[in-house]
Amino acid sequence: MKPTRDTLGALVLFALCAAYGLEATRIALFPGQESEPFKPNTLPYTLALLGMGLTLLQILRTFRASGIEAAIGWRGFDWRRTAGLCGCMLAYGFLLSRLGFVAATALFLAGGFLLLGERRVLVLLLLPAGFSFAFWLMATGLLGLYLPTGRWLAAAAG
Amino acid sequence: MWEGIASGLATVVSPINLLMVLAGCVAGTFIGMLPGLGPISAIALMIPITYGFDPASGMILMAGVYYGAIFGGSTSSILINAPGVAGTVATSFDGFPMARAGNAGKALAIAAIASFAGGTIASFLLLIAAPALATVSLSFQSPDYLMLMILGLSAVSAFASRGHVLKALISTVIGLMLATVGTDPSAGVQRFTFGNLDLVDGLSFLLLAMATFALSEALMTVLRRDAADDDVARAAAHIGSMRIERSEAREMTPVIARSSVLGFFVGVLPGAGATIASFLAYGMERALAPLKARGQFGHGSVRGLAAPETANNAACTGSFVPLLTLGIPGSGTTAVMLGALISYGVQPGPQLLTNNPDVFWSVILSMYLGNLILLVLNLPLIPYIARLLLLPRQLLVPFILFFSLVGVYLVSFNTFDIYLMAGFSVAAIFLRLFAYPMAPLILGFILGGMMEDNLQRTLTLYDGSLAFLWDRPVSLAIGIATLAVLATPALRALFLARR
Repeated sequence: MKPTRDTLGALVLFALCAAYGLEATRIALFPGQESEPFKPNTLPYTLALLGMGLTLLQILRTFRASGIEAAIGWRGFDWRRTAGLCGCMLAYGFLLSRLGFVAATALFLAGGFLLLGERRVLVLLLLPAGFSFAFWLMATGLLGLYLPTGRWLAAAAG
Repeated sequence: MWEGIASGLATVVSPINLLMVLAGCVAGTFIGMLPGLGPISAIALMIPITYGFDPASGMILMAGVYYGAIFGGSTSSILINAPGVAGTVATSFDGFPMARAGNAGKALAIAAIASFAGGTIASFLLLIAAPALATVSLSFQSPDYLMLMILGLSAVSAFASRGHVLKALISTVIGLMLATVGTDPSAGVQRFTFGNLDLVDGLSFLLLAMATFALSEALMTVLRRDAADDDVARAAAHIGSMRIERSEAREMTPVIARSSVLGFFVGVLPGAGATIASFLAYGMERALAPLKARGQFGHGSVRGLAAPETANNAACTGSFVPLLTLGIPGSGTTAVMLGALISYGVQPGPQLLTNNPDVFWSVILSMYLGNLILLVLNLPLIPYIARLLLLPRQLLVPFILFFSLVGVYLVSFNTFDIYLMAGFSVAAIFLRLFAYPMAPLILGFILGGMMEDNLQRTLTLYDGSLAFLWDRPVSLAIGIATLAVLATPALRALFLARR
């Protein structure tokens, strides 16, 4: 009867469903809408209750079958690189409008290659730079798309 | 009907659309071959590219990508025993032993021919079934649609792998919850936006599909330290002859006929799809095989390879029946396609046949063409496409992440979407680690808006009463089917416990 990792996962989801239900109480209604058969909060309330009920069942289930663990084992996972790649994505979002598409993309790709173990300097420098420039040329020249040129670079250039 | 078929045929055989099918098949094969990336990721990656296209061309490309990805998944199953998608797991049972015995080329040829035959027979069945069902579904009203959507969502969860039904239901509810973010369509009230203007229009389905599939699948390969590059290199270098003996062709023929019909009807059922079809066909052929042939199953049997390959392709075609005729996707892949169709301004459902016959028929006909192209053009290219997999993982993963991020950014030009994608991909990784499936989540998200719309109309029509559940015979029948579907896993568990 020991709680498992599955119990923890279901508990987190139960809390999320409860938070969703709580937030649903803050949905503003127009005057007179309270008596209507369908309101903007009808489905959210239903889903919150359904979600809480199902996650509660899941919690109980994990207690009943205490030997059952999550389907995928967690040992030996490469958390460091995965977190690094997520950081690269966030940095890419931050730098895209500031450094411009070409520089931000080249940095993102070079960072990703480096994180995943690529150590050849030529690959780290030339492939990201060449690819991002070629993509920019194709997108702006051939497809007529707008890609950010970079606020910081524009400010530096005056 | 014949006018529609002629118009669809004219659309499909235009040079640009032929190019679309070809490009879709090749791109889908390549993406589907990469372990971890399946048809949903392949289709999601293609959506931003197709935004400027007319709906028929966009859907034709998608259909090509779908079939290509399934075929690509079979290829990695056969060559390196790493199915790109669940629907091709059964393919590896006999495909991989055949390849290990030095007959990889033959195994690929059998898979391609079986896929082609399965797709062809199923396309013919679709040609008959889809218009008939579309005509029947014209009489459907909001309560019936609501119940159908509940059936679809329940079925996807009920057919989840054993022990994960509850988790699949929770995933569905999470998807439905995400669909409520943004402005409420009925009253124009903001919900769950937290005062953020970027959330007022709700979450984009493309963003969610990319984050929960393409991004999280690529990140999972890093997290799990997947490394199959050496195996791929060896397998890609020794494909061998693709020649099939006459006796083998004779052995395959009845298997293909049976598995096609079985696969198509399993595919039509909401939630069942290619995985269940392929396992059922494998099991059926094993049971029907003579004793001597039965012993070969699992050791490179021609029947064991042809059956799941035929059935998974036939099921893919079958899964288009509920999508095109009822507007209700029966699987994660068709849910993403539904999202794509809606973004093109096309609403699938019974009206599609009358309002957009060119889209309806060109999608059906392009499936057949896609199968033909896979057989004639793609199969000879497999040794070369497999070599593309030699691209090291440290280069491949950042490129997948880049294309996913930029694919969404180029639609919205909003960097907030990139932050959202990173957040959702992390959430998806955790859900995957706790074994919560992603397909029900995306299906719930896509059906959420339509479900709320139909719920509103139904409750308004019945003045808030739930009498629609038993008043309308169609709704009642679908409701009973939903209860039966939901009870199946519990009954199965009870039966197994008694045994």
